[in-house]
Amino acid sequence: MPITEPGSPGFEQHGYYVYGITDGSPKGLAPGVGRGAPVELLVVEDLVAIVSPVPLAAFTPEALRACQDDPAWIEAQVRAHQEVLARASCQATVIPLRFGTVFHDAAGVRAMVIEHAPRFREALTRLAGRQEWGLKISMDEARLAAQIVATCARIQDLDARQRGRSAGAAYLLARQREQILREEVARAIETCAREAHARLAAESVASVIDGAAPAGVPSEGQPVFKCAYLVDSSNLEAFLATLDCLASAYPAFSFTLSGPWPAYSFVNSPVEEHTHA
Amino acid sequence: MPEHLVVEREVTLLDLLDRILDKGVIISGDITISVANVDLIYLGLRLLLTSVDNLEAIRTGIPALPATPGQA
Repeated sequence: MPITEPGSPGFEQHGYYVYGITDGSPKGLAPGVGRGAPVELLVVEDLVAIVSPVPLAAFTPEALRACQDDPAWIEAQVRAHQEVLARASCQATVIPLRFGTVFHDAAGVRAMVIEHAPRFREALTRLAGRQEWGLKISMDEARLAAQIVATCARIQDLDARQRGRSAGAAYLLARQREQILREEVARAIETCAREAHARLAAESVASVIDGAAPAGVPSEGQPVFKCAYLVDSSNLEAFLATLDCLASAYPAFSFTLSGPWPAYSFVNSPVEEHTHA
Repeated sequence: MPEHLVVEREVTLLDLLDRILDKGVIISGDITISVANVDLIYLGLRLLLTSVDNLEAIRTGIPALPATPGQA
């Protein structure tokens, strides 16, 4: 809620938006959220909170509900959050906080950092020199189907039997062929995702599979497998080479990599995260 | 440089939400004002964007049986 102080009619009460926690001193992080707010470093013992002063009025439940109808504003905020963290991550190890974490005042930020200090220190040690990469595997359905038809004995057998049949029999065989093709597509997806993940996990420190990717045969254009990998910089070349190798071994699938990201997927519940030995 | 791998340079809002939504350290309690509310907005927005995305996929997917260039 905006508070107007006597003598300063435009005075707005400010809180602190916190992007993340680091143990370095990254520079040139602005523009931040809001309307390109300045980005500051708030030092608490050996830890540093990356913050922007923001008008509290913009982050009340009412104000945020109103923003729901304004995807452009939200997009600008999400991008600002990501870009500040990305700029900081190029210069130091950074623990991202959940988007939209706003504190009433600097004292609140300090209290939070002190309360979570052991956890932050542990995460900074674990994440040092490592970055998150996002992998999406999608299929080229037509190409995959053609590949299956060219190699699957069951389908070739059906195609041979279909020749010279009556329309009714041919229809039933065609239905059977569709069913087999569906099964083979699902099997090919599973084989590809399984091998890709096993080989990439071996080249990374930890991984989190995105459970939102649908099981079975996804609709055209939807990814068949999504996973975040935490990769040590010293092993990035090997990780990329493995991925390239997979992409050429599975030409009916496209492998799309995004990153490096701040370690968004590797700072929360260790249950979802799989740490590789 | 990898030959077969696609490296994404432009990230869509949906991809960004996917990466950021539900992720990052959650700090809640009296000292913060907006984490939970932001989550609700994002869930709503994500649903909206996903359905727009799906509609687009369905729309463009309707002239089904796309040509299979160079394949028998």
